[in-house]
Amino acid sequence: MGAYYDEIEIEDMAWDEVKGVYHYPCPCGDRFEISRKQLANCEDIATCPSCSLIIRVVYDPLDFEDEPPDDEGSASEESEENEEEDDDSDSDADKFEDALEKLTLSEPPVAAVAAAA
Amino acid sequence: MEAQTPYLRLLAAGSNARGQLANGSDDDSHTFKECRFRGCIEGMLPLNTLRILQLATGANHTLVLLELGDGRTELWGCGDGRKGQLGPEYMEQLTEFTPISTPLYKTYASQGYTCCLIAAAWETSYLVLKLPSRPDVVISMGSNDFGALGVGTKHATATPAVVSFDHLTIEGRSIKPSGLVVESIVAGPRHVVLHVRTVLNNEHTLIGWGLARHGQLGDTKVVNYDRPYIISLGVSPDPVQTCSLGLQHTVVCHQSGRTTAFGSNKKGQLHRMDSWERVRQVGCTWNGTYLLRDDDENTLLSTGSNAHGQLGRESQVEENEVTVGPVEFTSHDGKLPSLKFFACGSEHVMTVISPYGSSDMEIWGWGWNEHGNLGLDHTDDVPKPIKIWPAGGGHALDGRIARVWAGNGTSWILSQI
Ligand SMILES: [Zn+2]
Repeated sequence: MGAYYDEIEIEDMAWDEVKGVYHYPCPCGDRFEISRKQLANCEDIATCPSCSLIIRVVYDPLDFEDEPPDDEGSASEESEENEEEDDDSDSDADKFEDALEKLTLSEPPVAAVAAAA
Repeated sequence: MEAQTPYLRLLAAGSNARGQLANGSDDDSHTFKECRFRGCIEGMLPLNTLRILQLATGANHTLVLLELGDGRTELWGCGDGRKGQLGPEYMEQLTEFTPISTPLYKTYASQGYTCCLIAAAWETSYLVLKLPSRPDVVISMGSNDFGALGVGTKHATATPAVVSFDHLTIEGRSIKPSGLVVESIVAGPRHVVLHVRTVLNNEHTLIGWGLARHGQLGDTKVVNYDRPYIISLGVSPDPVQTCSLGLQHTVVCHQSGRTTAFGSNKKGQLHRMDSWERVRQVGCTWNGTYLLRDDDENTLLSTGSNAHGQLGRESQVEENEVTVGPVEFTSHDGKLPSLKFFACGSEHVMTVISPYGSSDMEIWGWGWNEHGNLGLDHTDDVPKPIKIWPAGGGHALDGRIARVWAGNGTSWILSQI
């Protein structure tokens, strides 16, 4: 059994202007969601809030590199410097966090993906 | 003659985040619970209901088309209405079935039109209205993602609209003057297919719109069609009997029992699915295809994604190998049951069977069960068919199984006493 419910090209996802996310149907009736900012950060896992299924989004990160950060933080630049780091989408709430803290913050999602693989 | 109308019960289990099970709550239900109809006695359908003509499920909304004793039909709906999929009167959420009657629908109803067919895509609803000697009318309402409304991209989505076919030509002739008869309408999450017949010369055609880039509407010329498009598949010599839609594929069963399949084959959902003969019914999960063969064993063949046991044949499937083979029904006496009917949900399957040599009806199911959608009071996936109904123990009023449906993590049973 694969880690992902599916691997989906970004062209198959719909754009929700109000929530600012790309979304794709989940078989539970809810939807897999991923934000432009996550895509700019080279994240490619879209999750469904209502179940355990996840999809991997197939896209070209270069298409999203001009994505402005949500606030004055510089998440996209950080991710270019440290590509392995899985930047938590909420982490720019604290723009003064240091790299060590950030690594700790990002551990749970990384571990979850690895366990599912 | 109300006394003669049957006593019907509609039950549902599974995913219920927006009240799509119509049981009065928005919590998932891991067992089958009775659906509620607004203003009706609890556990009962509206008085005078003869039968449910159709039940259609979207992402989080459900539509039922009821046939009443006086020959009229009524459309009821529940669940998520935020995109206008339940019509402009209900833009929030309904946790019990409620009559759906939009102003546009009422305009046609006042001329004598009856709602005869329904379908539901992800967050979009479709109604086909008919009146003898007048062209059929197709109404769409809800989300317009990927052109799901079929009325172009500029439409304000919350307003129901009439889908126009005037731009189409069949065999070089415009269909505009006399219009179309819609024989059937089927929707997948992201595309919709109509089997139509021209009034003028009885030409059968498949028409579709919505997401198209995987070939699910017959070619890969564009990402999506936002208006009706003629599917380039000559069906007139051997018209369509039934049609089923997955997330990215389409399977047609012709009246001769032959099959045609097109669209994405990424999960093997088209694998050897083309050109079968003697097929009685076709069905698609989102990433799988099922064919009920009209042979002595009435085999149910399955192919496609099996990540959650959806193929129902645990012992035959090798990992990473695409195969087609029969679903394994194992009864305690080792004899094969007789398959009557099946219904495909997003990632699970429900069947109505008779045990060997019996006229009793039972419901068996298998596949993805994360939301308790098989009604077994647990949430583990089920890789081989097991008996779901009668559930056993305290169901004195189970009645005769009249019909099953399956949706996006939801299952439905209509029983009749
Ligand atoms: Zn889900």
